[in-house]
Amino acid sequence: MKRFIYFLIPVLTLVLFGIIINLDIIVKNRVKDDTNIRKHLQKIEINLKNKHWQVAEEKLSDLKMAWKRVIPMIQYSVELDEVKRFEGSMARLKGALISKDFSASMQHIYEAVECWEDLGN
Amino acid sequence: MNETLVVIVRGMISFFTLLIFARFLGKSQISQLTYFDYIVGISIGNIAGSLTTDLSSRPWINWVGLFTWTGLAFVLQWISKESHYIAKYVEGEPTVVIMNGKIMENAMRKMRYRMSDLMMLMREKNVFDIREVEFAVLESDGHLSVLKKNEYQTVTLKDLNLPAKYKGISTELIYDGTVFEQNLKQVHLDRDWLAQKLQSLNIKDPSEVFLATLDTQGNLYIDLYKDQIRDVVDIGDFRGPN
Repeated sequence: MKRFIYFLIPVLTLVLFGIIINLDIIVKNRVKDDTNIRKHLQKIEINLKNKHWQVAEEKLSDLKMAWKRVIPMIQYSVELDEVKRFEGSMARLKGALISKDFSASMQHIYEAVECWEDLGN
Repeated sequence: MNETLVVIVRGMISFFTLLIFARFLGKSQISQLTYFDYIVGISIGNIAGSLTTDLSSRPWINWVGLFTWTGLAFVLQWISKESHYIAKYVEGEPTVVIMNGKIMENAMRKMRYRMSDLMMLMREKNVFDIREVEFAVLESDGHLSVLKKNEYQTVTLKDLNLPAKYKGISTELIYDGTVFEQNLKQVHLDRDWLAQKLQSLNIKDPSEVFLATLDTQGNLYIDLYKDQIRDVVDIGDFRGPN
C-alpha cells in the first residue's frame, strides 16, 4: 500500500499539472452561456448584420465580462501574445462599433473569432 | 492576465515536475555523471526555465519537451544498463593515459587532452611529480584515477604487519540539541546511559550539545555550542566581509 501511494503521488501530481496547463481546452469547450466567448461573438455579429449598433455594443460589453471571467482559468495554459491579440481585437472592435463602421467591425469580429479559435492551439 | 501569478504557478509546475523526473532518473551523483549526462541535465533545466518564464510559448509544449528529454535519458540509461556494447558506445570507456610510467600520447591526442590538463588532474590527486605514477586512467566521467608506483604508495598497517582494529561508521546520538532515540536503540544504548556520560563531562542537558557521535570502539565525540575557543584562527589573507 505504501509503495502504491509512493508511486501514486507523483503520477497524480503530473496529471494535475497536465490538466492545469490544458485548462484552455476544457474552458473553450464549455457550453455555459455566460462564459461562451464564441456565442458572445456570434451575438455581436448578428446584431451588426441587422445594424443594431447599440445592442452590438452592449453585447461587446457582455463579451468583455465573459473574457474577464475566462482569462483567470486559461491564463496558465495559453501564450501571452495570444491573449494580447484577442484583447487587441476586442479594442479594435469597440472602436469600429462606436464609429459605426460596418466593414471594419466585421473584420474585427472575424479576427476575434480567429484569435479565440487559435488560443491555446 | 496576471503575469506574476502565471509565472509563480508555472514555476511551481516546473519545479515539482523536475523534482519528480530527477527522482525517476535515479540517484547518480554529480561526480558520477558523464559529460553527456551533464548536458542532458542542463538541457532539461533550460526547458524547465522556459516553462517558468517564457510566457510567449504554451506551457504544454515545454512540458512535453521535459517529458521527451527525461524519457530519452531514461531509455538511454536503461539500454546502457542492459547492453555493455551500447554503454561503451554511448558513455565511452576509461582511457589509460599513463601506463607503466609512460605517457600514452596517442590516447591523449584521441581524447583531445593536453599535458597541462593531465598535470592539473594529477595535482588534484596530490601527485606533483609524474615519476611517481605507474598508471593513470581517465574515467568516462572525466575524472582521473591514479595508481602510484609501489615505492611512492602510502605505508599501511598491513605493510608493517600491525594488527588493525575494525573501524565502522560512527553513529550520531545528538545533533542540534536533539537526541536521536532511534540511533541510541541501534547501538543498544538508552537515554540513561547518555545522560550519565554527559553528566561525567559536566554537561547538564543535551540541548548544550551541537553534535555527539559514538564510534564502533565506544568512543564518544562531543562538540558543544559553547566551545570556549576565544581566538578563532582567521585563514583569510585580505580584509573584507566575513
